[in-house]
Amino acid sequence: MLAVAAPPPPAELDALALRRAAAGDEAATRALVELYQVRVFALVSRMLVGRGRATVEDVAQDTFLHVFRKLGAFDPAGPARLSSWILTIAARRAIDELRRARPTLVADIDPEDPGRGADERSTRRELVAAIERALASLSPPLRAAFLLREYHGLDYAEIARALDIELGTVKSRLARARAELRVQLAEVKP
Amino acid sequence: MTDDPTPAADDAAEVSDADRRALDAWLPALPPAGFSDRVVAARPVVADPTLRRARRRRMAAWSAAAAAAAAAALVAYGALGTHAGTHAAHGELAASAERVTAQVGERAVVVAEPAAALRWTIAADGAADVTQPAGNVFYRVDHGGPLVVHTPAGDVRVTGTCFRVEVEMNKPTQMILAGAAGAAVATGVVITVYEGRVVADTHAARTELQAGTRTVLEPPGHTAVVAATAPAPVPATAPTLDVAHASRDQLVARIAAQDAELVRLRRVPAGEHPGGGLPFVEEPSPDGRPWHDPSPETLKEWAADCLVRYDQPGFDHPAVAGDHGLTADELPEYDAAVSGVQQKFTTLVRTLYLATTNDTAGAETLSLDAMIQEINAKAPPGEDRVDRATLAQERAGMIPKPADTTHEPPLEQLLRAQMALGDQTQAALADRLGADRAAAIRGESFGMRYQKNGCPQPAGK
Repeated sequence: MLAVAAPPPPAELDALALRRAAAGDEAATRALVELYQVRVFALVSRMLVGRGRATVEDVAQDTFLHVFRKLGAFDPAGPARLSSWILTIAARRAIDELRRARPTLVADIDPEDPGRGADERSTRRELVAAIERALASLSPPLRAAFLLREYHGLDYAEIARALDIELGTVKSRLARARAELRVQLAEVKP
Repeated sequence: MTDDPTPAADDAAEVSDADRRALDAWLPALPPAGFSDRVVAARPVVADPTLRRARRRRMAAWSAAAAAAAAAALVAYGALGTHAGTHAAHGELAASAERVTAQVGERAVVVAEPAAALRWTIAADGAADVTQPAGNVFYRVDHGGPLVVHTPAGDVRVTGTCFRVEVEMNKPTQMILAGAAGAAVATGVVITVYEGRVVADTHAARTELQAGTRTVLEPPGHTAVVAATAPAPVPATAPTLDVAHASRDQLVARIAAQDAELVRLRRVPAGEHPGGGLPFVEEPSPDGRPWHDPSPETLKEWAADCLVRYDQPGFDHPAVAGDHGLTADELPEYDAAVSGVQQKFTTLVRTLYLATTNDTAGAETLSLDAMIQEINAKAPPGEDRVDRATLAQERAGMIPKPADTTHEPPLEQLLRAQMALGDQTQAALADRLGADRAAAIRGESFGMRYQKNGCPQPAGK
């Protein structure tokens, strides 16, 4: 049985820290990075599977630098949560990276769970490979839509805004992505 | 796969629990130790973190005009608080017999037709909450935080665009546009979008409106796009019209004339607005040369009109690949070049602001644009025209440039600095990308182009 990790609580930077970060306060900007870096890495690493650790780190860092530059324009009272807004930037940066360069096949760091046995690790690798195959068949925006929905819990409207596509397109894209996923997983599931 | 906007059923689209568990088997990469330190250290060096987007400068340039034009009808009161150059404020535009231009916060300019009423609140973060109970108002909204216009038929939400809201009291606007006769039944609201896009919210529907569309909102929420494209602007002055007794042709003509206002706002010589300047002047030089580098003959013609042009990058509106012809590889170099120019310019503006106001605290906290606005506002009347005349003649080679300009009035020094931003940016880019690429990128436009004209008024006027 695979362990299903509970998603982290959707913590957001408090309003005061947000204002300080927007004003360039170093401690606040550091707090912002520390609060959102795991989510950004999760999205970017899955978007850029096969591109290597260095590329993932570069895009993640670029995401935060862009966040800093644009933070003054973020509206806390607007429709987007700060986390969604940051993930939007991360997704777009990753999409740019996917479109910009041909993939350089680099062995990704595979985060291992040391508590698992060899059989379980093998099963997990097969599942991950199936997911990666499913995602590999998707265009970068579609891949982003799928990841934002399934791993980061963005709702359809948030994804539509993030990727600048129609709500209906989001739903149809995700339906197709899930269908592809089911096909791939059916080949490896016991 | 193709993008099909046909919605899929939500419930059928969700993954199963088994697939969910499979997805959770894919563990993401974690950030390396010290990642936050690395990111914080890599932050771009920005001298003034309160800098606003450079496009707001056009709003600052318009503010003097707005204040003058709106003096009879505008009641704007009190900054309620300050933080890093932002301010919370309220304003109100009472129904007037004349067209009134007014600044709404730092990001919006409105042109209210006679009888239009407007009131607004600007939050400390710049978000604008506007209520338009009546009348016809043209809005130009700079990108930034949200701006919401509450109308009797629904809300219009934008982040940066150019649009018009017409509230017709007791007149079914859709029927008006359709030419139908009928009793007055409800308030109708016509929204015309010229640039960008807006979202119209009513109790029953949410509709995203693209540029070039016109939409009618009617209580209790019916929304209908009644024209695929906005009428082509015509060179006319928007007439005042009694809509209750107007014919369909008169109403359609009025709408077309109002649309021409957009063209006027874009193209009217800035000299007609006291202290004004127009952004995004995209017309090429008449001699076919680059926008920023006209021929000596053209410069002399401009000098006769006291016309100056300058371009600059958007300081805190980061470029992305594709902007200004930039490739992704060139972006870091472009950002670094612009950052250097920005720092020097900000330092100078602080100095000029201090010389103008002696406000040390303000120099440390105000945004770049706020300081520029103050320098403009505190200059003696007419000095901007004198400065334009001087600099236009200098640039045309008609008079020599002073060897030392540091003793010139602050406003003149400011204009000199603004007019040098394009050359400075190009030079900084040339150091990093080479002269040819720098010239090509500038040729694509740094993003901000300004043109100001208007000569000194003869004595007695």
